[in-house]
Amino acid sequence: MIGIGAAAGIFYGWVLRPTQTSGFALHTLRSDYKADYVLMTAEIYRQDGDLAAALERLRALEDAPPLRQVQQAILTGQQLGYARSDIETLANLFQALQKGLPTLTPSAMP
Amino acid sequence: MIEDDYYEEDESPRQPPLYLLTGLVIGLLLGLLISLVIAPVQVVDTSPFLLAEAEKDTYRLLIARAFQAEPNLERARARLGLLRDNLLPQTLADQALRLQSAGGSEADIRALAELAAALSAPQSAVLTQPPGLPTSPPSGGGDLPGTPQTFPTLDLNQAVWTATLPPTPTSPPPTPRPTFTPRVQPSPLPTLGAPFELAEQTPVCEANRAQPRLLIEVQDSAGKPVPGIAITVAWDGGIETFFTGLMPSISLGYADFDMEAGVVYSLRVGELSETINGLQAPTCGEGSEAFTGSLRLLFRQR
Repeated sequence: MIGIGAAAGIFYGWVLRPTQTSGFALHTLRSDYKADYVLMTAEIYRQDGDLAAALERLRALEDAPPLRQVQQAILTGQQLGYARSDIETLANLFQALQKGLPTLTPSAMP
Repeated sequence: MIEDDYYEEDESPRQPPLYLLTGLVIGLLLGLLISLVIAPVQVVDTSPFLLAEAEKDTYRLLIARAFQAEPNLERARARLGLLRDNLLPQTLADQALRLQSAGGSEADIRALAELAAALSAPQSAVLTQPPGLPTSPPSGGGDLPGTPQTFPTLDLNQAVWTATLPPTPTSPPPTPRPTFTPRVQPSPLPTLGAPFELAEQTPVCEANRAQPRLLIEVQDSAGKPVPGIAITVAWDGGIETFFTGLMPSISLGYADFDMEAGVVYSLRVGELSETINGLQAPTCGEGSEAFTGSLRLLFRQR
């Protein structure tokens, strides 16, 4: 009976209860949308050169380290066939973050 | 005697199987604990239009700032299309107004106003892609130029609901192919360098208008409305800055400001223009029918 009760409880919590259909946070976005978010951040950074603002925007997207987010965006952009100029824009932000955040050395450049 | 004992035992009330019910309740509580507390459902792979309103504002502002940095209207339009707003320029203008009333940054307000204005500009309609045709905002290098390729935007039903428990690694979800986004020239934005001068000052006497206002129209030297221009109004005890272009339904160069009767205002359009002093809400009518009217100001770039 414990097993039946547990199954009913899990079914309720995982299947019946999640009725939220909107109102999600930025970090729930699909990877390609996240990549575009990072690209927008990189475009703004390229224009204003404000690294602190770029970092703030990246932190609003998710908790992952900003360098990793940009790295992931570059990878996703390459997979999706982003234009070369867009990849360069992302790379520009990546390099700026590398200089600005020396302690967060990425594992590998794409 | 034996028969009597037997009947006595048989007539005693029988206990219900409480231990089964107890087990069920314990299991249920355990299941709820797991599914609601320990490993609650997490939503992943959503689309921008499913974001919370505050997150949509963040996303919209980012698009506006990116448009400011790289004025590619088609790309901005495609990005905004992901939010599925029906009244795009108005939504942007509303957000700018909200940001302004909340004391937001001038650069952000200006970016939203400029994008709202660019989307409202007649020439931008030429660049409009058919509604309901989502595109991947960044331009893709692998597609043939000029052949837009559609991809399915994630529907609500396609959103994947997973538990917190680490998912088994599988092949990544299919990502849409990018769409080639032609690099188009944006609608011309105002030249902010040249100052504006007061071309006309007209009292507006409309008895049905409850609140007297400064009705400001800013035009370039060719007489075209100019959005995104900061207007600073100062009076004894206050100062306020607002922008043209937040009410594209009236005019891209329009902005207004609520006046108080009897208060003298100073006003400056842009950053280099001269300050206009001594502005007051006019008195309309005479005698008992007198009321406070509005003031229309037309500024034109030199």
